[in-house]
Amino acid sequence: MKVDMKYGGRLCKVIPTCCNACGGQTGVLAHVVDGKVVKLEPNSENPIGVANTYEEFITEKPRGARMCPKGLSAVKQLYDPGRLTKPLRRKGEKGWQELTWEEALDLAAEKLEKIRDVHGPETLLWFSEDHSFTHIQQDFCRAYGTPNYMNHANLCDVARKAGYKLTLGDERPIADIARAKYILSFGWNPLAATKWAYLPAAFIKALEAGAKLVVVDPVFTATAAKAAEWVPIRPGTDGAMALAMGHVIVQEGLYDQEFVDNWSTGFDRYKEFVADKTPGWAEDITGVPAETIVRLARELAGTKPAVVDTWSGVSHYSNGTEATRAIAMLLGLTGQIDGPGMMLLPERVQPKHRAPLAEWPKITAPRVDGLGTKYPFAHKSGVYVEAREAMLTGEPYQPRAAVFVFQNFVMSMPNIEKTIKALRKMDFVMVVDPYLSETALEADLVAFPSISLRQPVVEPPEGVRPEYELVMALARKLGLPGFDMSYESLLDAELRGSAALGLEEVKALPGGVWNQGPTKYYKYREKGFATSSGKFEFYSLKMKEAGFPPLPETAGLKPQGPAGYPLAIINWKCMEHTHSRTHNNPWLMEMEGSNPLFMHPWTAEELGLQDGDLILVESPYARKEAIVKVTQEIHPGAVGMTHGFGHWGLGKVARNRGTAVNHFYEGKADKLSGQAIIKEGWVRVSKREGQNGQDSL
Amino acid sequence: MARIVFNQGRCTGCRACEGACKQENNLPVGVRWRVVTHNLQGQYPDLKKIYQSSACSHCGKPKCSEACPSGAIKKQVENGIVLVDEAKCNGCGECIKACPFGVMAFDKEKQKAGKCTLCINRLNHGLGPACVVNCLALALEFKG
Repeated sequence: MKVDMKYGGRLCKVIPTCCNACGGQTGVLAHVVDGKVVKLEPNSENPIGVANTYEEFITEKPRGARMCPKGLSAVKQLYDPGRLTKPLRRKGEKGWQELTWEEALDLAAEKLEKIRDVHGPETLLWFSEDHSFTHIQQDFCRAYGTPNYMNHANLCDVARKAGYKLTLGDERPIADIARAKYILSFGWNPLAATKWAYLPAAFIKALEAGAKLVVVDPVFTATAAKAAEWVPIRPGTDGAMALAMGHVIVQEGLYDQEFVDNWSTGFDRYKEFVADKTPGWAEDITGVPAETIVRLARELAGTKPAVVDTWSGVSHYSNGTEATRAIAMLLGLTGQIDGPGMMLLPERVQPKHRAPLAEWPKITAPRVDGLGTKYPFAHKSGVYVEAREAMLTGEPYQPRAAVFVFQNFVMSMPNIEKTIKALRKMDFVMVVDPYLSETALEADLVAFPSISLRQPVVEPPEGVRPEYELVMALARKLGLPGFDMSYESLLDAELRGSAALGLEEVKALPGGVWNQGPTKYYKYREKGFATSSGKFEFYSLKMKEAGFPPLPETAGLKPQGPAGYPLAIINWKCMEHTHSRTHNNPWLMEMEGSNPLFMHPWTAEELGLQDGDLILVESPYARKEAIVKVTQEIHPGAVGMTHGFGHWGLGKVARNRGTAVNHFYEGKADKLSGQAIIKEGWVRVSKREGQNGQDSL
Repeated sequence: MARIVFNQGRCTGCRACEGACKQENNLPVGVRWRVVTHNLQGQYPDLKKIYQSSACSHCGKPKCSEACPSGAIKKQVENGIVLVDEAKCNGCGECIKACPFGVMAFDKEKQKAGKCTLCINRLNHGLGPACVVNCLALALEFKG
């Protein structure tokens, strides 16, 4: 505790916690005066705002940690007058009835009990944000008896996870940007989709040390803006480019012989497979000139250490897993894995989730979403679009209830109309959200969790509880065993089971941070890769066993839209917002308040459109208005906008600002990982004359 | 003299500086003491985006101060920081017209001019300006 200068000599408590404005969990110090958070400052003891390897953390720590605009604006969300303050029960078509906390719990318990007894516990589907307190929610599902717990990751990077897992055995490899000499990014935009606050400084450090940054992306992103070279590519064709680069590296003998011989499997088959994946073949698919592909392949193979990475810009397509595999294989060819300046395979210490209790029911019902069966390489986060199909079709069985914790299912899922229809088929929908989100507008009951910060630093407002308290209280109401303890005691046990330190001991460490110590490199040389062969896999027997081609054949497909819809429509994240949930924050909306449709000047000329025109965007699934931004920052064959805007719920700051891009997509899943396909869609665009307002559509 | 130096080559346009400034000074919507803008140059696909993070430069001979009819804007002798004395400001807006960099802000509600103070409160306690501390790309540097 200290006396801070800004608050008239009043006592200012400084409490270390983690920012929850996005999933990055940057370490922050909450400054609390008279029971109110007055500001958040970066926590230099927490590496997330500093660096991602131990050496870099030690070197960079004196410069301090940093925070992004979302975290720096989080107090505005905490004290947003637009936040809900009482649980709400649907009353009639549009009305709401305020409930007390107890009444809300009683109602939820009564509904869930009845649904369990009449239809079976598996008819409850539970959706959660992945950086909310997920273990307790999974426990609730296990104790209630439903296998259908899902979380946000399915809408994020599960195709990336599957692609990397199949090749190098790690679901979340992390690039050592700061020390790389060559950085090749396919559809990854870390300078705006800044998941971790250390990333921009790591890029600047690498660039100033002479690294070359090349960004392959249909959009001239914030990352492309710092690159030596932006390579615009047709959306969804990155896999073809990666295969052709592999072709060049193999043909010219530029690969890392030692790595390939000793640490990989299936190279000969890969070599045969890419023999016809020539740069000319790829040019036809990707629109990237063959000579560019040849040059980049030579540069990559000739510069060490190097990083090749990819994220949502590649994985949100129907071939996302396969394209990620094709890209990961460039790491295998060049041997740039788990050394300084390369793609790292992190050692993880995770809180130990308690084992299911003996008193909890044995769950025999299959999952509703085909995880592990129809989608053999799906992540435990589930398959959202299949869950929605089940709601609509009753196959493989009819879900009856859905709970959403910090999840705006309506805005986040591709094909918004379909999602709304699916929710309206449920007997009971409960939404746990600080706002009347678009999903909450479809709910029977809305309850409010606390927001923005991880460790509680102030008492939540009246009527508001942390989501873990809500979940535990609901479990107790239902008489489920295993919830009669404090949440802190559960956390304490989780920590002791992994870091061997309890909650109070961690809190007592400088900045409340436990650090596992020096980063270890080349771990595969001792223990192999965590793949089925123990080696880096160019050829996957697992894929073959699951009935899919063992080499990444669909990585090189050329996406085709339906007749009459000539433009690919894509979307991206901006620095100022998280998903679709920060758009009622007035500071963030002041920085970035809308999302016009980006269109290349050549395309705009053909369509007779000018910058700022009101336009009609039509896909087979929706017709919506937007404003066009004519800019060279996008590939001529694509149009696109920032995801997250176009609210009709949430709050008055958020409403009627921009267009919700998820209207335009069909809403399918990648056949391997179950990843929701959020960026593959097709539209036609025309000028909207004389009329105004979405209502007329 | 105290100032913030901007390294354009580093800036990634993330607006952490803007957020830090809003939070530190608890500024209402419409009042921005630091603003990030950009300028797109070149021809597709060889584009360049030049970012600019702008705030008061604490000029050697501040035009805002010269233009102020009520003597509300003064350059501090000891550190060179140009400060607006809100109590003296009459809201006439002459300083806004006079600033050659367009970084003087106006709070319509309060009818007062305002701008970057270089976080003088923080400096007095040995902390860097909020925008400098939080600059994700290390593009802002404080020179004491």
